[in-house]
Amino acid sequence: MITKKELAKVIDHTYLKIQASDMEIKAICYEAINYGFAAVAVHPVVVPLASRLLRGTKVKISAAISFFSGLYPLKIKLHEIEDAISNGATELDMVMSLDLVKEKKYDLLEREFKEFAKVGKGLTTKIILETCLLTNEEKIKACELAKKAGIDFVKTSTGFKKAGATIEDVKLMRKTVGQAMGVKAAGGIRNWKDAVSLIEAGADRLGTSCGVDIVESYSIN
Amino acid sequence: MNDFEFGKKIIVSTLETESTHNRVKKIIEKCKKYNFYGVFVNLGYISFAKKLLKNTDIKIFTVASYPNGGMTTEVKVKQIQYAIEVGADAVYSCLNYNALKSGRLDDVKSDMERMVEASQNSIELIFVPQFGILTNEEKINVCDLSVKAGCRVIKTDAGYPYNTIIEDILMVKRVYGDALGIEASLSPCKKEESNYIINAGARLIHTRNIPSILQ
Repeated sequence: MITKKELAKVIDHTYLKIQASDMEIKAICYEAINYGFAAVAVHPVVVPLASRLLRGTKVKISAAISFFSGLYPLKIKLHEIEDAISNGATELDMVMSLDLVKEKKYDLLEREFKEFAKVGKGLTTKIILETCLLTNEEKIKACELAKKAGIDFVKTSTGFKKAGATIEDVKLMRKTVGQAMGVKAAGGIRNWKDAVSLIEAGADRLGTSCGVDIVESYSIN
Repeated sequence: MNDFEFGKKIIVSTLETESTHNRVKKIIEKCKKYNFYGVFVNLGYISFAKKLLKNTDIKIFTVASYPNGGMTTEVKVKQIQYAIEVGADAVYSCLNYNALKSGRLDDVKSDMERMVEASQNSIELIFVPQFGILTNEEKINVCDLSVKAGCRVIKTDAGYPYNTIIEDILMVKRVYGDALGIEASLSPCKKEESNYIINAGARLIHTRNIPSILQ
């Protein structure tokens, strides 16, 4: 079993409420430092604040790009990424254009993924598939293209749709991308049992807003 | 209000993650059938919608930083410019709720002003203050700032997950009268409820579902 410290280290401390005040963002950042979380995952509008607070710490600043539909033209997506990087983002969680998968426009999807990897070079890039809306075949295709494009992580969900990460999806994604690529499970991860079972299924990063509760209630030191 | 008049008060949304060209096309066909006022499409679907709606008076609307308002002013300005380029009839933009909730009203205002500047004379800009997450004081603050920034119409909520309450429409109309137009968000959209909202002073109703009364 993994230790408490190891568990904290794979958690992206996520706070995507639209009414987030500066005080709440500060609290999230200090929690991330104290617990040793991997990153804070926030909307781009609060990236400048998070970046100021987390400078000189190990905690990464992950910007939620193209949230939550992902249905923005590529040039808008790329502009949003560049803007987030200039504001201090060190990781990028971008929603893929789901319509390109559904319409089997794989050449355009591949282009989106490649541009994402290129603009995000030097940072940690995560592409969100929104698995609850995809067939297994579509999940596999998106994972293969993400790997080919050189993206760092495939990620299950935004957390804004009907379902989040499942054990089956994480297993399928891990099997498809192999060991050299990251798999991030996100959405609906409420307690340490969810967290540990997703890690055992193959996830090496977890996106959750319950990070503090998860780590506090985890009994293995 | 007969069905035709009711239809002319309705804007249907196609903004969901699940939207594909096929799905948007089906909804646009229904817009034509029921003579809706307009359709809400993602930035990348405006040209497609324009082709389908050629020779009709149905309007095409799009969004900036929707529905979370999590994007920066820079990115919203780019989205407004994009909407102008492809010829949308109006752009509905979310505001800087983080600044509003932190009491930084100057930042709320400068975000608004930059967007108004970007839209100037080229596209109608409508703000979405998200009344569902605001206190009454914040609602008035945001309306005041909108009027000062030069935005003449707001839409109460994005509809994810909040619906418009009639008290908000009445309040805005009572305080601002014709100085600030207001649109409502209602899903599901029933005719009776819509009637109340319109009679209270809302100029249009936005919905994710084709109103069942018209089906």
